[in-house]
Amino acid sequence: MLNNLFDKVNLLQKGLDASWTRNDVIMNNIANVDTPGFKSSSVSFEEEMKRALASDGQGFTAKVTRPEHYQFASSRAVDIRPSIVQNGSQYRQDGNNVDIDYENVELAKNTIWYDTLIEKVSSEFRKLKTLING
Amino acid sequence: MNISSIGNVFSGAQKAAKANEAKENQNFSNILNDAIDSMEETEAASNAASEALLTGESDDIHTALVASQKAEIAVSYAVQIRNKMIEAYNDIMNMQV
Amino acid sequence: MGFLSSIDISGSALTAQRLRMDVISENIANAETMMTDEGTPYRRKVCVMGERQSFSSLLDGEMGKGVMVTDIIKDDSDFELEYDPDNPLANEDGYVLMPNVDEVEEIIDLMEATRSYEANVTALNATKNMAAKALSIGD
Repeated sequence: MLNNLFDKVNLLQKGLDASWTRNDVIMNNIANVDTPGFKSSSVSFEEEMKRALASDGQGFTAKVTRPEHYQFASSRAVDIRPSIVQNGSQYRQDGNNVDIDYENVELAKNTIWYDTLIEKVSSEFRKLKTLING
Repeated sequence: MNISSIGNVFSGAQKAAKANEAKENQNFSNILNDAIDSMEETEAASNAASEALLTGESDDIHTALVASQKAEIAVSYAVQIRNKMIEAYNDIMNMQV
Repeated sequence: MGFLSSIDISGSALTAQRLRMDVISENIANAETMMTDEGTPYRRKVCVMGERQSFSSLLDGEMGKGVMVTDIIKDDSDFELEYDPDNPLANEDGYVLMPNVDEVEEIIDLMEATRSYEANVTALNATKNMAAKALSIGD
């Protein structure tokens, strides 16, 4: 039963994993801004997660009205993994297509996303501790 | 998401435990056993994360910390159940029959 | 993978860009060097950057491991000709062979390398901050 209480945390952790991977990918893009022939990559995750949560009909906002409903996070959403895709955008003369300004923006966004997810996870744990310990 | 929903989760879990109890003839000791299992599970996960950190195999900070938090909560949970059980036992033993 | 191998990615870029800056500085310093041990004027050097590859089976897709200077090659474009008949190295027409270094181009290159270096420092700091934030779980 305890595992069901961790469902939300497990989902949030998937986001954290994806965010960390995204950070690696962005850093690799920035590191290779001058590498001839290099094509930038990005991490795909949110769309898949949206689809998984929608198709399971419950996601985070399930209404808990019956005893069976305490399992509000789908097991399928928790199996989602981030995937790395290469960007086919226009490239420069040396074959490199890294847009440093775009990468910097993505870096900033991703950092904030990670921080927010961490806050949610911490908050979740605080709630669980209060629930159990009173 | 509002605050009451996590409360609903917990009471929902309790109701489900009771429902299961009726269905599978569970008793309080089974609930304690489940709690102990969860404790062992989360402890194992936490240890695995620690080992990965020590051997430099993983740089997954959030996974390691989430694992230790879960382990902490699992221990609290098992201890609470044990305490309630002992309380209930004492209450029964002290009944004037 | 070592601990915080993520930071190694940016670290590799810092190393590579710094080496590139060193090479550019050498070019600029030798822009007027008419004679080297090889019997020719100084020949411009160029850093070739290449991606450090690593395939992680844990992810769908390949994960790069940063960048490195794969080679420092000599630019084989023609030497410059400078009219200087009094120079002992001048040929019969009075021209001296000069290094194939264009100082303006080198300075622009240096500025680019510096900007790339700074971008990687920013990325590295972002990772550090994320890690620090992760450590606050459960507080």
